[in-house]
Amino acid sequence: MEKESIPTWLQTEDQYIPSRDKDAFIDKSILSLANLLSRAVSSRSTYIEKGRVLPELKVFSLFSIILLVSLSKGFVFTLSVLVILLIILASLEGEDIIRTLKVSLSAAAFSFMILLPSVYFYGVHSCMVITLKVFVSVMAVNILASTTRWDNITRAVKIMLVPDIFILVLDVSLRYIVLLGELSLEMFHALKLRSIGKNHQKRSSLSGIAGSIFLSSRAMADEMYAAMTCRCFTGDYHIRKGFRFGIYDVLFLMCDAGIVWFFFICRSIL
Amino acid sequence: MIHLNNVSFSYDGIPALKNISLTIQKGESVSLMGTSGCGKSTLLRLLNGIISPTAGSFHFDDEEITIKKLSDPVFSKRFHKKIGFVFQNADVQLFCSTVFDEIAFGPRQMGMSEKEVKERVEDCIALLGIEKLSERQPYHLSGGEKRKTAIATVLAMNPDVLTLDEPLTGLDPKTQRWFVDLIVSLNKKGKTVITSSHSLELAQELSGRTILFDQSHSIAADTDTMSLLGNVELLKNANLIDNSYHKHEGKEHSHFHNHAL
Repeated sequence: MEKESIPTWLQTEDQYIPSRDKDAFIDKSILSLANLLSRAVSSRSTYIEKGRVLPELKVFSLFSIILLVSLSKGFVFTLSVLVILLIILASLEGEDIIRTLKVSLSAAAFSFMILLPSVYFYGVHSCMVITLKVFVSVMAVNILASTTRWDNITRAVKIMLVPDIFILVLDVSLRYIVLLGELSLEMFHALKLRSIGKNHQKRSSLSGIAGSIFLSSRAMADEMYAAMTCRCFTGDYHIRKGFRFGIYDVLFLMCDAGIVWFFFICRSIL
Repeated sequence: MIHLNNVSFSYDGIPALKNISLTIQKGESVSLMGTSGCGKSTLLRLLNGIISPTAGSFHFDDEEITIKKLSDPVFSKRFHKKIGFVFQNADVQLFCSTVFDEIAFGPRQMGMSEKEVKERVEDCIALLGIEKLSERQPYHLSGGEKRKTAIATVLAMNPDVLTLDEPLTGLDPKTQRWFVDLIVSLNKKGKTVITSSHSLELAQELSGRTILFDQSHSIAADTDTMSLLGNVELLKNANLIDNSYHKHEGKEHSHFHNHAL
């Protein structure tokens, strides 16, 4: 490298005073991505499987609860399940409780809005029952997500006879949410560092970031599949053989049986 | 120009920098060395205002850099104009449709005329020797080409301070040598250069001063590069070398290196 090749302007300081620009979207994107990653990373690094119940049993119970709540008539059974879920929820950490309630209430409110026109034809009862069912189902899903690691959930759905290709897609997607999130965050940081004035092409910067992330995700997925194939992956997901049932699993199973029994009692009474 | 006073930083309670105090004068060239995860990249991020210290203070041009000040768009843009950052992963820095547009991104924002922008971009392209890439899509370039383009995008903004996060990683020996020469030339022309690197062989040529990080995320040594490279015990304690590290002395020059075991 010859010294003479450094251009003159690069050897002197620019006298530059930046002008204001409406680019708060960069900071907002950085903040939301950082929050998402912080949640994902903290759940990856410090998370300990909460409770002592087998994840397979928890997933099975979730599917049962959603099925029975959907089939139930009236409020009694659904409210009873809600009480059980609220007791479990109360044993979680404050952050998990707030997140679970926030998501469940949002889903219930959305369902209520959608069902509002039906009040005119069928009265308020059906609308309330369905809204409550949505609330309970979403709460059950969130409690499972808060108390069980994602890789254990994907492993557990295998016993629900879910096809391997679905588990593969779910597993890979969950893993890459964090990786692609980190990549997007880095790109927004780079955009912020280079946004030193008025950007007249904000949309093209954003579409450029989106395009790069899309291409990167495709390249990463191809490489990962090739690596898996090299390690003899043929599309079959194997789960650990044999369950070690403990006292908590037996109690959990008895609780499940109680819920099923109560469901049939409610149906026979109503 | 840059002054850190007892700066600490942690990610979700996990320490990444502990009690870092240092001063970098205008026109200096400084190497940051240490094992992976010792805090080099975190320090560069802090210097670029991507993160803020959890304790201590950071001054740039006699002005304290705080989250509050960086939230003011004009201050933030003026600060980022003065300090350029070449990311370790060049992919994250490239998001325009062509290499030309990528390099022109900064100058266009500075309100320059299209003629001035073209001149500046062409100078950068010539400096980095990437004339053939001008109309290519950045995403499809090779690793070395991406790194050159990323450096060109930063140089086009003419920052006073150039920070490079492991710029030599993943490059072939010839391109590594080319980069070292470029960094040295830029420093000789007045740019303040801060580089993080693993390469002991190139450290002595990159800069006269080296800051060595130990595994406790603190500064183990801040001294001239030659005497640091000669302090085998210190380098061993920082887990940067093993017993095969030694020095060859010839008639024309001497250098330190590892032999493959």
